[in-house]
Amino acid sequence: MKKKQILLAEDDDLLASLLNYRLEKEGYDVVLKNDGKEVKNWLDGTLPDIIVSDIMMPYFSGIELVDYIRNNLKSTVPIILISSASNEENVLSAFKMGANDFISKPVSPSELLVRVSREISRIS
Amino acid sequence: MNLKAVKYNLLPLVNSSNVDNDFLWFTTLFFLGLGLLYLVFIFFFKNKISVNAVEKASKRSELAPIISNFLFHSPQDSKDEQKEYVNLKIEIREYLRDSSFRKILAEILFDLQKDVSGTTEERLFKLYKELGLDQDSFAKLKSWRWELVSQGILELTQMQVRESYQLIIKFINDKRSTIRKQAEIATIKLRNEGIEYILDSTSYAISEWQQLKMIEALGGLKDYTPPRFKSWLISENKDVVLFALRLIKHYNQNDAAASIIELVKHKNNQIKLAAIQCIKDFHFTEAKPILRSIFLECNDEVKIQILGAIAVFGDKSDIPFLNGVSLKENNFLISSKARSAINSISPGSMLPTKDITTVDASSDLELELPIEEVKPAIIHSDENTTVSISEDFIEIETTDETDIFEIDNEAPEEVEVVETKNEEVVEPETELNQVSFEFSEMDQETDDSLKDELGLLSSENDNVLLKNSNEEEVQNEYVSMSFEEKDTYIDAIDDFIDSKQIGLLEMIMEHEDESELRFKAFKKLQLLKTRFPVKAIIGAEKQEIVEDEQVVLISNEKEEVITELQDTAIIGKEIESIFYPLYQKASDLDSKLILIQQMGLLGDEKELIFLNTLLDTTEPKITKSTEKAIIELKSRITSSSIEYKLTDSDAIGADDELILEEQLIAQVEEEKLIEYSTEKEIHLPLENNNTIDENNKLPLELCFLEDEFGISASKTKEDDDFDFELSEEFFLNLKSRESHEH
Repeated sequence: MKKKQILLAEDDDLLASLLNYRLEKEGYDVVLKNDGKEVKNWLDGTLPDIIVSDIMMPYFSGIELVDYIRNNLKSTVPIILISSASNEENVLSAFKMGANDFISKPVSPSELLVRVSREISRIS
Repeated sequence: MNLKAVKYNLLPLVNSSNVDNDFLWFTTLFFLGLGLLYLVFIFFFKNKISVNAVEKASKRSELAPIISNFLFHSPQDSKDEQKEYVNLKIEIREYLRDSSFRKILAEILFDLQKDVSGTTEERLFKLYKELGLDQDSFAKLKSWRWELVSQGILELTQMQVRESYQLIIKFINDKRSTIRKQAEIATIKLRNEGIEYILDSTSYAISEWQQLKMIEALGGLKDYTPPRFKSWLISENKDVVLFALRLIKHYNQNDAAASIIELVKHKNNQIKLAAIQCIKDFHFTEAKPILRSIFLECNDEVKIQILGAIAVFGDKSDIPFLNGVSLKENNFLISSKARSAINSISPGSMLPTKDITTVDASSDLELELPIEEVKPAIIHSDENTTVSISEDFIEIETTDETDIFEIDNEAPEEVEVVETKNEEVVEPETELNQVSFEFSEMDQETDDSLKDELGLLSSENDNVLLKNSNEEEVQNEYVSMSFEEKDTYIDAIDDFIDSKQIGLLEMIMEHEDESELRFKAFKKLQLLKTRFPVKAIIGAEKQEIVEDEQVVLISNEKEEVITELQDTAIIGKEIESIFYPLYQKASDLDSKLILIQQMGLLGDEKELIFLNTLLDTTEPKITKSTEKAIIELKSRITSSSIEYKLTDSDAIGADDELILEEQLIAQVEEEKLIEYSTEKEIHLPLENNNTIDENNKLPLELCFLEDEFGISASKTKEDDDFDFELSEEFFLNLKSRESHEH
């Protein structure tokens, strides 16, 4: 059975590594990217099954990424956003742009797993 | 020449001393060397730092999966994973011997702790202890350097090393404030009972910022039940008391009323303020007497706080105190706060007074109610009798009556009978004097019959009561009455117009507790004011006229009444002229003369009356100019009235027209000032209608009474909405057009 591919966009190496480890352990194929520019370039070539992205990233923020995916790539791929700034404005604008879910830092890896699997089961 | 010599002589003084060239080279090279060394040092340290950072990053990236492995390891993992876990454990223990590695590992764990939550966080705490990194933090607590101690406390708190609690609480009374503050937060975070320990044992001040941080820390505790903080209100440390008050407020512990109220008497103003704030928030109304009693002894800030508290939970019993404060207090802020408190308790009781222009209410009424219009109302004491003057008048007065009393609804038949009687007795074309006389009699009869039906006092009794008393006696008598007597008494005032009664009604409106009576008094007062020229009541001279009128009414000397009324109609008539205020304001003679001239050119009857009053002036120029203006005005009025009457007599023959014209000219020349005023009575009902409607409106503060008595707005006729009048010429032209068409 083909593994579900997750694009993990997170600029914090430690957290990225931790989440990567947890998601891989759970059986997902994780593509790890550290900044928005990398993510954008990678997305021009291919589309994952689900995207988990931090909102605050260098070069290209999570909200801009959602906007790019929804309006430029015209893709409905599920997007889960992670942000340390859990203010209402960020959440609202993310959902307005078309994000599917939102999780705030400090992240519980177990919770993230549940959300990821829920989104994947929804599309499948 | 001499000057040059002086200059040349001075030259040797500015000559430079001999410098050793070797020394110069040595110094130059020395400073160059120092600069070079400085650059080398910078380069070296910068390089070292960046190399360290790279090493650290690589070590972090190496360690991150190891830590992830430790964190997410479970006994259910595959054998390979189990093996890998064991190998990593061994490997990391080797690394742990290196202090720099331990440092990096600890840093990684601290960073991760900020980003993860839930079970992962708990595993992280466990890993921190398993790797023995907590020992480093414990070691830091023993350091003499305050920054290391503080860091140690922070690390142990962050990693939730509960065993460190006993060690950390020792720092609560440390003389170094940073350590003390760190220890306070740690004490709260490590154990739920930490706050109690702090409140019990701290002997140092607790800043407001620190208090807030501690409250925030308390908010992060799981399964936390706050203690009853009132126990610390008796602490000797004033900051503990303040913090306890803040905590009481934060956790809404309103069971500490007695202690908090007692704190209002505290010597410390900060505690006083905090206690008053608590009292205000919890609405401890029982604190009011204490607040009032301590008020004078307090400083301005506390006074304002007390007034703010009273404004929130005060009632009408506090208004005298607040009034006293607003009057006696010199500080504007406090007196202003007292006034705003009064307004909070009783909205609208304190009105703005500064920069408010005074408006004479009587003159306002006077302008609204031309005296002639009041005339019929004085003659007819009962509204029903006024039916005879015109149909419009009936409508106004009947509407009036239904507004004032609900009697009409209860006994509608009687009213109908009365109206029918009036219509039978009075012919529409009867002269005013006659009509007045007959209606007064009818009024008396209908009044008596109505009062007998309703069980009210007889008018004779009322008469005696009202006549034989001065204002004070009447008011005292009124106060001693029962509710029903008061009610009857107010009703009786209707028939006996007296300035005392107006005073009494005003007194009732101000001081009567019963809203129903207040309302009745208000309506009655309004009625009296519309019936009676207010100016006559206020002015000394005019007061005599009022008294005279009253005597005349009581003795039923009808002819005298009419004469008086005609006099009253003329008095003050001159102020109706639009030129009157302009003339009053004119400061010099020239302006006055111009105004008089303009009155002659533009004026009408009102200006004529005004001009006549000007004839009495001592200034000969004014008298002369006035005479001219009067002649001019009279001739203009005469010609216009002839035109009008000629148009009116279109249907009459041509010969008749000539005769009529001559008669009219003669008539107009002989006319006196009173005739001008009486001519206007044709328009009286319509004008009166509008005025009375305006006057019958309740003032805003009494509007609630409408709801209380279930009174709805009376239906207004569509005609009442018109805010303009059509000239008689218009109607005459209309008639003539119609006749031509036919």
